[in-house]
Parts: sequence; C-alpha cells; structure tokens
Amino acid sequence: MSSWYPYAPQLDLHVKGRISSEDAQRQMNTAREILHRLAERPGIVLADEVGMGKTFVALAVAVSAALADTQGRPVVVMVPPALQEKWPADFALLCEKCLPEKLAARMRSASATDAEAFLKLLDDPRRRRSSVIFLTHGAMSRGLSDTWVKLALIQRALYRRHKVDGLRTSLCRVMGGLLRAGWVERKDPDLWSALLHKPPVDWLEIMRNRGFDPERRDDPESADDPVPRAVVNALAKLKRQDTDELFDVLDRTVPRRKSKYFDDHLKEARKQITVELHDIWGRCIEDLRLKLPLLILDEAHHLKNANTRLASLFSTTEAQQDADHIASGPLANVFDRMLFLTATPFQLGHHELCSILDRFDGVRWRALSAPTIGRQGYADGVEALRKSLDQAQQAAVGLDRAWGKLGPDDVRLGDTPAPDAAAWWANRPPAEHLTAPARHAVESYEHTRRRMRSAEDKLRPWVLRHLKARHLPGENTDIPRRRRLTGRAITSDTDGVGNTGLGATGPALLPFLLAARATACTPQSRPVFAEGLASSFEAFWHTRRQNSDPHDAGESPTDTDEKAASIPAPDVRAQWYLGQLERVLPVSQQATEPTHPKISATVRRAIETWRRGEKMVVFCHYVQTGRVLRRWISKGIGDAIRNDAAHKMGREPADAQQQLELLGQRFFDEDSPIRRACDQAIRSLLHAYPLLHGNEREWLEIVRRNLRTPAFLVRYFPVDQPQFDADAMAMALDQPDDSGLTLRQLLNHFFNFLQVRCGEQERERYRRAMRSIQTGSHFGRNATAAFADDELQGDRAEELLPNLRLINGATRQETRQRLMLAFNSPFYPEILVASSVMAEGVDLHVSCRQVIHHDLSWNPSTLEQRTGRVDRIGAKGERCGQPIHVYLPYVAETQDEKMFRVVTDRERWFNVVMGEEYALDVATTDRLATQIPLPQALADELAFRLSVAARPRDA
Amino acid sequence: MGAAVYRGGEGNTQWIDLSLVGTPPAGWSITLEDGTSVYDESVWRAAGSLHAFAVAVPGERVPSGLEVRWAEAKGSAWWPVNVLDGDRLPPPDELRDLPLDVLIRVLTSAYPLHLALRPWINRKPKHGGNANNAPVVDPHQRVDVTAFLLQRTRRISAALNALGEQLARPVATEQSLQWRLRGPVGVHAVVNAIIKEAASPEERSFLLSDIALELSRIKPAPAPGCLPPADVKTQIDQYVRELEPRAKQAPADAIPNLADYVDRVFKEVHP
Repeated sequence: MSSWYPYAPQLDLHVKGRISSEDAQRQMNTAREILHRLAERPGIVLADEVGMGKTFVALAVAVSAALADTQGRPVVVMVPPALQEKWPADFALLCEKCLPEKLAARMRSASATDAEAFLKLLDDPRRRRSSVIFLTHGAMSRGLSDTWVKLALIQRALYRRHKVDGLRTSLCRVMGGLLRAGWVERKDPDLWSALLHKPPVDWLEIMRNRGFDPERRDDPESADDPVPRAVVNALAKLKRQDTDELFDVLDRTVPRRKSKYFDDHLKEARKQITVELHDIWGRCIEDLRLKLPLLILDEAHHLKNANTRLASLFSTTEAQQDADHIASGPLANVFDRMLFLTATPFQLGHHELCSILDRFDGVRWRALSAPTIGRQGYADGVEALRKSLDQAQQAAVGLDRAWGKLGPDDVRLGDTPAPDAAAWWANRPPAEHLTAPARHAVESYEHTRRRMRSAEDKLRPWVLRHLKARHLPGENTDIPRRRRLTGRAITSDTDGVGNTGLGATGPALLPFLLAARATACTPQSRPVFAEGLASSFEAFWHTRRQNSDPHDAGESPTDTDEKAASIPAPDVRAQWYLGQLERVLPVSQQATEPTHPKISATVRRAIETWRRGEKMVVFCHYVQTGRVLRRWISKGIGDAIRNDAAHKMGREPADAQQQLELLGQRFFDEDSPIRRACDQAIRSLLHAYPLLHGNEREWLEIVRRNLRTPAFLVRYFPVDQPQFDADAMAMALDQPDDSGLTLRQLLNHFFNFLQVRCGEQERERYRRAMRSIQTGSHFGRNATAAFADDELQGDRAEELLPNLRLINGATRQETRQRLMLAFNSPFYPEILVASSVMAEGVDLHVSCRQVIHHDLSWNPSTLEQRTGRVDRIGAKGERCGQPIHVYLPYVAETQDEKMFRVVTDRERWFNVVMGEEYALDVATTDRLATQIPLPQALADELAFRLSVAARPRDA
Repeated sequence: MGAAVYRGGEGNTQWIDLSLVGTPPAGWSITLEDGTSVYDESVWRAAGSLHAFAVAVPGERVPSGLEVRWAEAKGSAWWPVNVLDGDRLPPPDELRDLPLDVLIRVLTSAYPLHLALRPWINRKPKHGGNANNAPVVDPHQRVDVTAFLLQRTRRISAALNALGEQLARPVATEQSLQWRLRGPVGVHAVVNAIIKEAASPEERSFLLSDIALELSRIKPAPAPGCLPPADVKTQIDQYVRELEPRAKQAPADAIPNLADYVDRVFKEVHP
C-alpha cells in the first residue's frame, strides 16, 4: 500500500554525537510507518516511551507532509504551553542539522497562542506561509482579544438594521474605550467610522491608504488583513438573529452623550458587549471551514476525557448526536489526518486509550483523500478493540489468580521437583499428568494468550510504541536501566526490603493516630487529608485549615489541576483530636530534625545523594510539602557543609564555614593561584568545543562562580591542604561523584552536549540561564539575591541554600525554564523540588539520574512522565553506566500504601498493553515471594508488540 | 446431699462450691457427665473431711450438674449445679472473643442479641475465596485495606459510637448494667476487641486512653423505674479507672508525646 505522503528523502535524522545511528534509523522508520498507515487510517497514536524522541519523529512526519502538500498548506502542531518554546527550538534544530541547507531555507514555522493569530497565519500568502504552525493548547478556546475581529463582529451586529446611524456615530466616539484600543483613536480618530462603513476585506487597503498599520509595527505594507479570511466567511454566514442580543446590548448600553456617569456607562457597556462578543465568537469559530493536511497533537493523553475542553475541539456534530457529553468543536472536519503523541495513552484504564482513538472521528471524512478504512470501518475497529481489551484484562486477572495458587508440589517433572519454574514451563507434562492447580494455570495461560493476541491485533494498527532497552546501552548491557526502590528501600538504598512501607513510629505515631481519629469522626469525608498526612504534617495541616475556613482564599493545598476534595466541618469530637493534633504536630521551624517518616526519609536520601556529588529531582504534589522539603534539605546540606568541612579541617563548624567562604573569595582574586588554575583548566577543557569559544569568558565565569561555593569546595577540593592552587584544582576535577564520573568528565559531557546536541538557539538559552543563576551566599548574607521573587513563596531566604530550588505553580514560566536548563549542567541547582508543573515535557536528564516520587499518584502515567524527565536518550545514567534510581517511598498502612498498590496494579496493566514484559499483579507477586515466579518465556509470549519492527504473531 | 453452687471461672478451670449435709456414704465419688473425675472420698478425707469445699472442673464450660456415685449404689445421682449470680457465668462459646466488626453489628442492631448474631454464628468457613466469581479488575477493590490505620480507626470509632449509645440508654437493674459493662457484648468485650486491633503496644495505649475518653463523655439518660443516671455514671467511671493503668503501661513512655497525650486524656477524664 502506498503512503499518504512520502517520507522526505532528504531528511536524515542521524546527527553524529546527538543520537545513535540505531535510534535515528528507528525514528526514521517510525516516521515512514506513520505516513504509510495514514493512507488507510484517520490517525495514529505515537506512544513511544518518554525520552525516545517522539518530537523528532513527529517533526519528520510534519516536514514530509508540508513538503509534499501541493497546496502548500501548513501542518499544525498543538503543544502544551510549557513546551511552546521547545517545539520551535527543536524544529529549528531539525532544519539546521537534518535537512540540506537549501531545503531548510524553505521551511518556516510560526507560533500562535490564540485563534485570531492562528487564522491570520493561515491567511499568509504562499510565499511566506509557515510550513508548520505551533498552536498552544487551549488557543482555540481562548476568548476573543483581537481589536479588529471584535470590530468586525460589532459591524455585523449593525448589518441590515434600520436607524442605526445614531448608534454607529456614538459607537465611533467610544469605540477606543469599548475595545480598549485608545491607540487607534490617538493615531487616527476617524478610522472607526471609515472601517464601519466598509466590509472587513477592504479594511487593510483603507488602513494602508491612511498610513495605518493594524499590527502596530509601523509598516502597513507588510501587514496582513486585520480580519482573517476564515472569520470574514464565518461572519457572512451569521444570521440576523445570531447578532440580535449583541445589537440589543449595544443599543441599550453604549452611552450617547457625555455625562458625569459616562465612564461608568462605558464600563458597563464594555462588560456586556464582551460577553456577547464572546458568545458570537464561539459560534463563528465553529464554522470556520478550514482544510488542513495534518494535526499533530502533543501530550495527547489529555484527550482521554472526552469532556475536557481540549477533547471537545475534535468532536463532530454527528458525534454529539451519539454522545451528548461531547460538544461540537471548531477543529472538527478541518484536518485530513491526525497524529497524536503521548507516552501514556491511558492511565486509569484502557478505555481511555479508546477515548483518545475516538477523537480521530474529527478528520475530514468527505475529502477526496479521506482514509481508505472509511468512517464505519474506523468506528467498528475502535469498538472491537474496546471489547477485546476488556476480555484480555479479565483473562490476565484470571491468570494471576491461577498462577498464584501454584505451589512447589505442582511444579514437578515426573516424580522429581522441577529445578525452577522456567524449566517446568518449558518441559511441562501433558495436562492429564498435571496437578489440578497446574492444569488450571496452564489453561488460564492458553486462554489469556488467545485474548492477548486478539487485542494486540486490534491495537497494533492504531498505536506505535517503542520501548527503551531495559538495560543500559554500550558496554553496560547487563546493567538495568532503572533501579526501582519502593517503600522503605529509600532509607537503605537496597532493593531487598520487598514491598514494605515506611512505618509511622516514635514521635510520628501520635499525629497519625490523632489524624485518623479526627478523620474517622466524619465518616462521610474522603480520606483525602489522610493523603496529605502521608505527604507531610504541614500538608495535612494546611489542607485541614483550608477546608475548615471557607473564607480563606489562600493558595490551593495541591499544585495540580485536580479538583480539591472538600472536607466536612469537624464535629465536637473531631475538634478534640484536631486540637490535640495542633499541639503535637512538630512544627519544622522549632524541631531539630524531621519526624514525619516520609519527609525524614526523603530529606536523608536527598542529602546523602548531594554528599555523593549527584543531582536529584524530588516530585511532590502538596505545595506545603515542597516548601518543607526545601527547608529541611537546605538545613541538612548546610549542616553537612559545616560538619564535613569541620571534620576535614579539624576546626569548629562555625570556624570551618568561615574558612570555606574565605577560600571561595580567592576565586574572585585574579592573582590568586586557584583563580589562575581554575581558568587555565577550564580553558583547556573548552578548547575541544569550538562552538563555545565565542563566549569563553562567560563560561569561565560560570564555572568559577559555582566552584567557589561552599557546597562545591567541601565536596571536591582538598580544603584541609595548606596550598590552594593548581594541584587543588586538579584534584577537584578528578574527584568522582557516586556515579563514578569525575567533575572533569561531567564538564566535558556538558560542553559536548552544548556543542553537539544543541542548536545555536538552544546553546544561547543555556548560556543565558546559567549566567542568571545566582549561587549567592550560603549562610545568611545576601541570601535573598540568589532567589527570584517568585521562588521564596513566604519562606526566608536565610534558611535556604541556593543549590536547592523549588518549582511549582507559583514559579513563573521564565524562572522554571531558567532553573530547568541550569539543572542540566553539572552546577547549580543541584536538587530540584518540583510539582507537577515540571512533570511533563521538560528535560532534566543531562546531569541527573536520581528521582524521588515523594508524593505518589493514583495515575501511573504521572509517575512515568515524572521519571521520564531523567530517563531519556543521552541521560547521565547511560553515560556513567549506572542505573537511574527511582524512589517510590510510601507510609505503610495508610492511604499512601493504598495509592502505591493501586498505581502499581494499574501500571502493570498499562505495561502489559503497551508492550512491556508481562508481569503478575502486585498481590500475586507478594505471594510469590515463597512460591513460583512467572517464567520468562511465558511473559514474553503474553507481551504486546507495538513497534515498527514487530510482526503480528499467530493467535 | 447438699448444694453445688457455681463460683466462677478462671481460664480453663471452673470452680464449684460444694456444701455437704450430714456424712456422705462410704466410697463416694463425683464425676462430670462424660466420666471425668472431679472429686472423691479419699481426696476429701485427705483435705480434712470439710463440709464446705470447692472443686475445680476442667474446661471453659460450666457443667449443668454432677454425677455422684457411692459404694452401695447401683447407679448414680444427679447433683444439679446452681448459679446464684448470672454475671459470673462465662459467655457461651458463640459469644466468646467476638471480633470487633461483629460486636459493632450487635451493638448497633435493633434486633435481639440472638438474631443480631445469627449471621455470624451461621457463617460458613471460606473455601478458596471467590474462585468461581468473575475476576475483579478494579485496582481499588483488589487492595485489601482492612488492616490499614484509617480503616482500623474507622472500625474503632464505629464501635465506640455504638458503645456510647448503648451505655447512655436507661438501664433497669444492676445486673443489666453489669451485662452492658462486662457481658460478652459489653464494654469489656469491646475494649478487648479494640485492643486486638492495635498494631503496636504504643497504639494500644492510645486506644485505651481513647476508650476512656469516649466512656467519660457518656451521659446516661434518666427513665422511671431505671437506675439513676448518677449510679450508672459511677459504674462507668469505675471501669474507666481500671483502664488508666493499662493505658499507662511502659511502652507509651518510650514515646514522650504519646505519654503526654495519655496523661492529658486521663486529666480530661478525671480532672
């Protein structure tokens, strides 16, 4: 079968040093396969695991489609707001590195954050039309903001109405105020009248004739039509009754003459008109009649809920008749094909994956190039998949149960016990010679295998998924890529503790008992605040207070878009327990060390990781938990700096701290030996990276500013030696961290990353970010200088160290980007405490291989997305040949443990469907500690295969 | 021959007070219905031939009577055991050590005891779980949380609520009050069941102080012909005092904030 569009032959994704040839080949093959499948199908889900380069595969498809589209129509890529800079940067990188120069020059991209900007881009003449438009998620749902489109709507409301001259005159007088466009009046007070008397298609000419630039760039000649063509067409279709209400509001509210209440009337008129304009804009935008070749949608798992705003964009009128919960959307019947990107196409259950596939119904089925499968064939296919996955899941649960009942006596070969489960499975006797449990297990396996194959056959055409190797590449193929440490394994850093949680013991016990009693006194409440308690005492207490005071309009306890659960007001008995709880909760400012079991474990692990010279990301859900973690880890690292320095120097901690600061100051003295040695050593390293030479002075300064900090001095430099010179510098550079990489290697890797893997724009972003990171004073003086004003969030800078940063919803996008980029360097920040805002779409992998999921999630994809920040192609783990550590601590016998078990169970089914090795459920696995493990051959046979290379197997 | 009166039991031994009238016939012996020997003339003589003495009956069950034989008799005589104080009777096997959820069901049921207990008594032993049922795929249902702190605490809260309601209701006689306090489905039984729920000695201290707190808050309701509320309250307070030393046993001291809390509770209970 032919492709929908051919893969652009000039496009070569292999960039030496950036990506391996195998990975590049896999990416190109995937892009070809997508184009091939799109001939038959309305859409494909590219569900490669996090960090495998889905962006580049998608851009390869986009470039191929844009180059081949005979009408020169742009491909639209919908991206989350957090990635609205990253996608264009990756596109620029692809053009720069993967396309011939001549072809790259033909490729253009533009970004739009609202519908008006998007429609104007579509109006561009072909010679300067963008090949790819990056449209921010939510752009089409955003309210109307464009002055000229608003004016066109008002004009339409006056269309064919009698006796409106007076109203029109009044409108022209107040239009600047109504549309918040005083600049128009100041430049050309008669423009409103001139425009209102002519159709919008003539407006550009009118403006040009008057020397007026609608885009405010003082260049009327290059301006686009102020009202996009699609809007003009949609306006023409509006009926008189569609604008009745707007007209009525205009007629009633627009002030006709100046009075002392004029400003109030104008304000009221603006308010009401805005409401009406918004309403008409909504109707208008649903009737745009655009025809575009391809939509690429990133983070498509947000479509899983058909009721979300994003999902409603792709539903059609017909779908609305079938499912009344889906509204018709402006992007229905616009695109010929769709490509959805998500590493986690379902989370809570496979029905979500089917819901995502339902969105493909919004393609242009009536186009000449419509998918050959046909609309009915598509709908039948998705429905069959839904049923088949249900049956497969039921069969898998049955297999878990049957296998869990096997005991050593069932695993026999003749009269002797089998040496292991694999040997028994490979040589198992015929059914009539098996014990009843063994026969049941074998029958369950056969049943499950049939169901799995059937579901796989139905899923494969829709979903492409590649998995990262479960072992490290290169010479480390025997080392697992990830090391998962669950429950209390965080305290010992060993795997051998099984699925046991952290215990609430000692002083932590009483708060847990009191909180449980307080919760139990209001049995109708969801145990949500018990979840808060498992996170931190502060999170619990803040959640409690927020809910007990409905007038408290403070911040939300959690930093997600989940709806906060309400907690009923406590009764008298509950009040007693809450009162006691307030009395016994250890307040962090007063306590000497954290008593909360999970806070204590996370803090200790973070400090230990830092001491060993490694970076770490700690994800948490509760705002208060993030803050308290930042305080405790800061305190712990501060103490460690002082005590370790004191130990090395043989001084008192306070004295050692002062000495460290004095040593650090020598890096600022141009004549000091350490300054000269540092500059010389770094210059020597930079020599191998010509693309960094232009900013050599700045890179030297960046390295110097970080190395002189007490945090680096105490770990890397021989601070006990009398000489602080070239030898000390050499020792520091040769000091390895816990991964075995020396500081010299880390610096080389980072410079190499900048030179090879980053395009020019990206390199510049890194340089700017690292320059802006203040390493500050560590102990009091000028501490505030290190933090941006959106970082402290009520905490005192004096209590915080600048190598540890908190990123949550209150952190500005700009600050987040800056910290994210700098975190990829070997320098500050070294520990990030982050909320869900850093859980998707950002790269934190270059210098970090440790992640703690301090707060778990009910949703396995949340955990996977977070872990994916540090587990990507080219991650530090790959370079050092050491596993990526994923800590999943939870407090035993609390809601936290339930969350762990539920999410693990969901994750297991997700992994089965998404091509991971088949594994038994957690409960069975726990029982199997003393029973029969699942043989590898059986697990392999049951796994789904969704990669390009995989071929269907016999059922 | 005399009187046989049930005195009470301790663990696996029940005590019966026997008093003889006149001189017993030669060669006499006393056995249980199943033939187990309880006492005989030789032992009696060795103990001093007293006319009033106690015999120990092995087992948890109180015999309804004793078999008496002597040398000249061809058969045996039935000597019924009298119970003068019903409170001293051990609970029947079915009511012994009821689990907390059953006690809650009994305490909150509008049915009489025997009807409320019927589902528990008639329960069938489980054979292989729900092997024939459809597989459960909902991960929430697949996690057993019954032993988790919050679920344990919810059960305890429910038990304490039920107990409080029962004790607050008017009570007609002293015996009924004792039944409510120390009977097989009374306060004492609930306390024992709650303590079993504790995951650690520290948690047990907390729970005992919690029970004391709940009991101290009970306000017995007055009713004509019933015990005065003050008398009921006195008995409850007496029971609460018995809890205090148990709640303050050593383990709680290992955690200062817990020991302080237990102290605060008992100060609240007995200001």
